[in-house]
Formats: sequence, structure tokens, C-alpha cells
Amino acid sequence: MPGSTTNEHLPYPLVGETVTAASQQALATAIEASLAATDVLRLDALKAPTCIVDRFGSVAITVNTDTAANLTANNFTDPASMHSISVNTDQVILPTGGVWLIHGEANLTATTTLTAVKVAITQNGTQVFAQQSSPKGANLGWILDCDAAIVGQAGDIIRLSGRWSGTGTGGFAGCFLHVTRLCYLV
Amino acid sequence: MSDLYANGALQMQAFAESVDAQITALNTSYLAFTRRPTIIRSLGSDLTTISSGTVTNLTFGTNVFTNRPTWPLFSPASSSYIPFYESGAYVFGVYVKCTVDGATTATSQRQVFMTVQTPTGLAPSSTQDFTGYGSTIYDSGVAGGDFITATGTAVYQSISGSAANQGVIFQFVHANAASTMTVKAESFIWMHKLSELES
Repeated sequence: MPGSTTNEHLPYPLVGETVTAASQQALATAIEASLAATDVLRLDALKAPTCIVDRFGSVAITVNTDTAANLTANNFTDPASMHSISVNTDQVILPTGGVWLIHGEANLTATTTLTAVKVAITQNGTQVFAQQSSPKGANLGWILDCDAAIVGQAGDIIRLSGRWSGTGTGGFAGCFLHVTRLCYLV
Repeated sequence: MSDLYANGALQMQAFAESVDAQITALNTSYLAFTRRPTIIRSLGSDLTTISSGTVTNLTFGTNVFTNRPTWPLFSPASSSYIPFYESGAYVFGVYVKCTVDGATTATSQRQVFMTVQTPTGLAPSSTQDFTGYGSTIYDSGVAGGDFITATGTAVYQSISGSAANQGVIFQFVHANAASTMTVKAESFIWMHKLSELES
């Protein structure tokens, strides 16, 4: 009956037992399996799930209406399950629970006057943080960003939302969303 | 022959335990890296009747999330300074929702400040600002209030035996002369350790 180490349960022959090719192979195999598991942890630590998506060009938004941005250009998404550039393009889906760092940015414009702009982040449809301001004299366009860390669960849906107030027609003239995991919850 | 077998077995055991210790150390470091010190705290209750031009400390004392239960709420305890947990490079930020209590001064300023500081009363003997961050918005005229976010970074090196417990103080000021303002309970701050200072 071989012994084994405390944490990784690597097998070794006990004193009095015969060292054989089989016992050496068993140890080597167990070490290989442990190192493979360690490599999974290494990749998980060094490659935090991250999604950076944006949209170029103008998209009309109804005045005074919070509107989720369809993000159709993909800068970087890993794992791929976080975002699609063809289906439900307004959604970034969290792959695990964690504390997530989120940065949203939008260029909001109007054709006649612009009196208020807002960029917000929603989690499962509820606004969790935002930035909102008068454009203070910039009457045709204003770039606004917002960023914060939030607690999220696997499957939560994150969206970038924009809003404008004023006259004429208006909407996004480009927007950007960055989501990356800072840490696990436990 | 039996000694040879015994020594061979002992050598394999020593080798296995050495490998076990090294793999365990690697696993511990990787697990720790995905669980670096992090807090999210809300204001917990509305902070009301803030007068125009009055720089007001925001006391974020309600834990929304923490993976370090021993992280002090404030240091000194009666202050509004949120200390860093341990030496390291940090990223932190604030989200504020604010509303007017009465009339609105159109397009008036609302600002949040985040100052990395050694609190008054702790060594060194005088308050020292190390880094300041902030964000400014202007009244939007939209019903329901306005929103502000800001983010900053800092490097904190703890000093053994010193009370110089550097932290971040979060403050709000506005220029809504027509009435006082309220910072809403759901406003929150967050702080996350990015990395160690030394390998």
C-alpha cells in the first residue's frame, strides 16, 4: 500500500516496499496531472475574462429615452461567450461570478441643441452606475464616460446605455464598453 | 538489498513531497491572484442638506462586498478615510447619485473628489495629500437627479510600526445656490489591489 503526499496526493512507495518501474510511473503520472491542474489555475489568473467592444458611426436615439447601445465591433472578447457582434449585440454576458470593472463611454450628439447627456451601465436591466451632465455650452456633441466596479454573477447581462435631451434628432456617434473581471467572489 | 530498497523508497517519498510543496505554493499564489483584496461600500443612507460650496466628506460605511473581512471600515475609526488594506498598487473609484432638495440652479456644478492622504492626527503629524482625482458634471435638468463617477490609482507602502495609515477620502461639493442637495444612499465606492510592490 503506497503512501501519498498531503496536498497533491502524489504516490510513493513506503519504506520496505519495492521501488518498481510501475511505482515510478505512477508518481510521474500523478505529477503530470497535478501540473496540468496548476496550469489551469495559471491561465485563469493571467487571463481574466475580458470584453472590449464598440460601435462606430451614428445611431439615432429617441430624445429623453435611455437606450442600450448595439455594439457591433469587437476589439477583444475572451471567452467568446461574453459577446456576439451579430446576435443580441447590446449584451455582454458575465461568464463567472466576480467583481467586475466596467468602463462605458459614448459620444452623444444632437442636430439642433443638446441640453443633457447621460451614459449608464445596466445589470440585468437595472442601472447600476452612470454619469449625466449638461453639456455646458457644447450644443451639438459631448463625450461622456463612466466607470466602476460591481458585483456580478455568472449569466448577468451588462449593457451600455445612452440618453440625450435637446432638440432636433440625436443619438450615439460612437460608443465603447469594456468589461473585465477583477477577482472572484470567494 | 533491503537497505537499497528502503533508501529508494525514501528518496521517492522525499522527491514526491518536494514536488508537492512546490505545486502547492504555485496553486496558492495563483488562487491568491484571482482573489486580491477588494471592497465595494455604499453610503447606506442619504446624506442630506448639503449646502452650496461646502466640501462634504462622504462616509461610505456599508459593505456591499469584501473578500477581506478584517479590512477596517475607516482609519481612524471615527473618520471618513478608507485605508488601503496592505502594501500594493491599487485602483479605486466612486459613483455618486445626487439630487437637489429644492430649486435648481441651472447647469450648476457637482463634483466628487478622491484624495489619497495621511489622515490628520496620524504620523506624519500633518495631513499630507499624495494624489487627487475627481470628476465634474453640470446639472442636466433631468428629473431624478444626476450621476457622477471617478476613478484613480495609488501605490501604498505600509511602514512597519508606523501609524501613517494612508487612505482615500471621498468628498462632494456642488454649486446649486438655489437649494441644498442630497447624495443618495446607493452611491458607492470601490477599491481593488492590482499588484504587489515587490516580487
